[in-house]
Amino acid sequence: MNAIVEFRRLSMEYTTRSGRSVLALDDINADIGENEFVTILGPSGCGKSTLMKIVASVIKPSSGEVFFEGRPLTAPTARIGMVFQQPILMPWRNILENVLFPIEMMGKSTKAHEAEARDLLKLVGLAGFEKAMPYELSGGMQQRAAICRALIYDPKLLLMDEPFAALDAMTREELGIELLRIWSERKKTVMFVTHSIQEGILLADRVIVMTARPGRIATSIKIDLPRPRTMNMVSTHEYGRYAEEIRSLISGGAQIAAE
Amino acid sequence: MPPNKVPYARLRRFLQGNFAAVLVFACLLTTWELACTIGKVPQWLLPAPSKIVSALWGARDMLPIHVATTTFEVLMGFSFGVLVGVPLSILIVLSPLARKVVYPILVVLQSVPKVALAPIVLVWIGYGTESKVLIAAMTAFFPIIINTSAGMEAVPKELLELSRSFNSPSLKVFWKVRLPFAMPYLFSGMKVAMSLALIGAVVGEFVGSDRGLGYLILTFSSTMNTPLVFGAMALLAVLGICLFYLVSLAERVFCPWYQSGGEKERYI
Repeated sequence: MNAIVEFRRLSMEYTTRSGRSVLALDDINADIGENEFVTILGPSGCGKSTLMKIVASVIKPSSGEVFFEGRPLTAPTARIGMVFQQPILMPWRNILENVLFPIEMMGKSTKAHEAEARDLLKLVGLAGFEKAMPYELSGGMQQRAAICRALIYDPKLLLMDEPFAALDAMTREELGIELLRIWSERKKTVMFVTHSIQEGILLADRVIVMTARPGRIATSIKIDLPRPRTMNMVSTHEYGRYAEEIRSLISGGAQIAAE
Repeated sequence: MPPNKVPYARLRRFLQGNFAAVLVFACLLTTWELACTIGKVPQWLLPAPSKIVSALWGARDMLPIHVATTTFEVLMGFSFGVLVGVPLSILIVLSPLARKVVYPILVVLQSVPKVALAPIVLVWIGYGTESKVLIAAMTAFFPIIINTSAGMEAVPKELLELSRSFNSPSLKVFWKVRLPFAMPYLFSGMKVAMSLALIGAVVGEFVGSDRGLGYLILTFSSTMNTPLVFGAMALLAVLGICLFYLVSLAERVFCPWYQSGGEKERYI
């Protein structure tokens, strides 16, 4: 499998206001394969979000390199899509206009992409809400629209930073399954940050488990559950094994950090 | 979920809320009226509401010019406040240097009471309407600047990161994201600014004028015509309320998302 993202000896060091330096990411080496669905799992403070921000070129690493499609990442690129914890739709634009926002910002014709935007909205179950305003939609529906906004310019890589964390448990499961459906229809590489072990396993081809302070990759586990995935897989023996392995890794890491 | 899913409950709440307000207001007026009549309070000290109304009615021919003058001064002052305030706040947000230079000056300007500045303004540009407009504008523009720049800076970090990831020019990000995002902030600034512009205009008229509701208050109080002093005050209050609602109405038209039920946090 071709790697679309490569992390090479990546470290990120912050200096806090009190002048203490904190190692947020320590010697990260990993490859993300093309069209792979990778979840990044770890306790809070393990630098998951920092890692995502580096890939998004929002912040620069202290040392090491990130390659995207074989070239070093230097500036933000429209080949990478982003979905955040909050939908952050623009309240003055209707849903269709929100989805078309990236197209507009790239200076392309929104007319030419309108059909595509409508298709995407249909794909996520928001057909008929094109003219609705964000505040008329539930949190889950807003997040669906935000996913459409990330897909409209057809990025190769989708960065999702705890996209369902602000939703209730039921909506969250539903959207997870739906995301997989979308992913299988429009092949993309997905990097998905979560701190839910269940979400991490059920969505992923591979789980990258991180430990906190300093943020390190503990291991990377290939998930061999059959696709399409369903919520029922939670009760299978294989799922239980994965969950236990990951849980022990995370709590083990926490113990080391506490010493 | 559509905000008006339960129209009857909303309607009932609206009526209940306003009914109480009207009732309390009517009670206050009645108490005032009765206290003046029964207590035989002299009219030059505290006129009864009915006397104020009849005094206003008696002066109905000479009032319009004064109401129009003050309204004009307030609206012009307000408009200048917005026209100067919005570009200045844009400058402050876009350029850290401008911020460093402009902000202290603004704070100094704001710290000087406009009442103290008013006589100088009159000396500089005269006795006419222009001086009142300038004083109103000076009083009004501060909340515009503060609110608009705060609004443009309150854009969620992620939204800016997202906007920049398309390599679009920062002017476009500003025009498409920051400015519309600041609209509700601008409007709440404008609500304050409108009230302040009214104060500014009246202050200007107090210092020196021959027209306007402030001028009327000054003239009538010097002749002990207290009912008309109160009358002019009532007109000022009505004017202030109308102008405030004018801004509210504009807000509802231009940022309907902001009005819809305090759920701002959820979708931003």
